[in-house]
Amino acid sequence: MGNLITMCIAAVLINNIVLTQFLGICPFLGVSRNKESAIGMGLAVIFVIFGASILSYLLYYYVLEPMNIEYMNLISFILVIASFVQFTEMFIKKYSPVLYRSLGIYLPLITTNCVVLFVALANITSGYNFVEMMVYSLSVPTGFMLVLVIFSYIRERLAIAPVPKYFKGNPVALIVAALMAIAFSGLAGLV
Amino acid sequence: MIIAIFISLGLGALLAFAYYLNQKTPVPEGCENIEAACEGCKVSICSRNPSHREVE
Repeated sequence: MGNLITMCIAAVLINNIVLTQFLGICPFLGVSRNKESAIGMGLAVIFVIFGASILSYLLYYYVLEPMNIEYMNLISFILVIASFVQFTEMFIKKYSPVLYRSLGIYLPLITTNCVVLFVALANITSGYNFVEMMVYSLSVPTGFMLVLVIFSYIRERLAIAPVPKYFKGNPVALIVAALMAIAFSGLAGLV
Repeated sequence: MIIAIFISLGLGALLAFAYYLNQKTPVPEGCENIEAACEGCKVSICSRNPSHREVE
């Protein structure tokens, strides 16, 4: 149990996927201009990563490994993730119009989010068991959502701040992201 | 090798089927203009990015 808590804290705060591994930078910069979008994107990413990781894990250990075709993991996982996103969008469209209204716009973006593929592959290469895989697959996107939401709050303030002309927009956003990475690096050694 | 090809084809077919079903599912009422409401982020690869509408 302690091991799982350590893994969770490490994935969310210490080895944050955006600030330490620089993955998922596209949505991090693209969908962080207001907090409503950031929260919607974060929730959609958590759901898709969790679901896609479970499917990828089962596919690897029950199909690819027994047939000795482990080298197929990359292409298989890409297809599984893309299919899962399509099914998720269809399901939400049909059964939850309210959720579709808030998340629908972000779902196609998740297919291009490299964090999804990273988590699916990391679960295999790290040799996690099923419970560890589920904890890791929830922790990584939670860390992604945490920094995305914090960043969106900062960017909303930056939009009305007196920033020098040549720093407006993405330059100042990248400087803020670098400062956030430095701040989060201070949490190293927490666990 | 043949099994690998079959699995690839199977997963590809699954994706095509999922895409077909998703396109066939009617959009809920009030969400018809969800793409038009997208102001666009920096992810130009997304099919909902306004830059694609400009091309069309």
